[in-house]
Amino acid sequence: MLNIPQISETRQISPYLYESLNKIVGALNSLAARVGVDAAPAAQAPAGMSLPAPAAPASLTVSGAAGVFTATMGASAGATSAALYFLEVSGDAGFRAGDTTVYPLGASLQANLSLGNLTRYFRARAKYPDSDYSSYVVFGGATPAGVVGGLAGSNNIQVNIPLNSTNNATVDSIDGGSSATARIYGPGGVGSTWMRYSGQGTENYPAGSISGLAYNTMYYVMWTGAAYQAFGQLSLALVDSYVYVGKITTVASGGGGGSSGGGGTGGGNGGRFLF
Amino acid sequence: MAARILDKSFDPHAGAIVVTIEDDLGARSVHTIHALAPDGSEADVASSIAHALAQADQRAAGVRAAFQKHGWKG
Repeated sequence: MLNIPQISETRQISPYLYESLNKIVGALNSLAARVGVDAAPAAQAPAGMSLPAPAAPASLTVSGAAGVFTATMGASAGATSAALYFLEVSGDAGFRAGDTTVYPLGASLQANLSLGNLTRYFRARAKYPDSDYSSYVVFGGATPAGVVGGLAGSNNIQVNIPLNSTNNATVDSIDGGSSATARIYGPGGVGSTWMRYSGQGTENYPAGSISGLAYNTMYYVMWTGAAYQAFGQLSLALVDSYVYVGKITTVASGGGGGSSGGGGTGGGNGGRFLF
Repeated sequence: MAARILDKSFDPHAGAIVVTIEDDLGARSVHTIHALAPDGSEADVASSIAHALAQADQRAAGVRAAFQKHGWKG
């Protein structure tokens, strides 16, 4: 806060000058209070803490539904619009540092956090840019109350999410010499791209191959996002980001036997895992 | 111009070298080449890569010949 005691000396020189200087000092201090930055911090004040902290947020209410937490604070009593609010979310009622995330909300008094069906504890505090933090307001008071995020139901996800899909890939295998090689390709023959069809459109995938597979063995062939992989066990192939291409049985040594997979030109059986 | 290796990466989980090949028409294919054969012996990775390159060249030549019949000048 700006304070110039010498101004009083000007009263005897010119009352008008004295009044003008006082108005300038008053306006500057008023502006500093409104923006929360001290224009003339006292020499002994720690950096960034020269203004008194605002009061704690007046209230904190939290609810959870469909995996989304909604936290609403009441503004700090007597605080100017420069007050900044901070919401802290923890998995621990003691708000251990390693288990607590701080969300700086700026001047906003509400936050919607999509954290899923978890139990979380909430507290909030405020500060000015040039002040220390206020004390906390804790949801639940002296005994922090956990809030459950809640499960998301099918009405919370996008309509017509592509549960149904198929593709026009062909997955077959050849004898690679000392092991079987699976080939993945589209309707244009070996080396051509294939497409996955779903209710949300089509996606293109490159042709490819997988070498080093066992002869006469069943595999689920997946696109992992960067490579093709063949899994003998279905349980290993179920990663959400993997794209199903087809199920094959590799050829025997010499190239005989085996069965191909994928939707083929007609897109017949490329949509789901075939057990 | 012949097919070329565009990218080569190593996937330790799959125990495979992943090679992305681009033919001279710009078509790409991804080849997962296991470093070991099913019996645990070291696989002939170089041969698998050579085979994939040859296959890409063969396809590109076929596509080019077919396109040219229809007036393609590429």
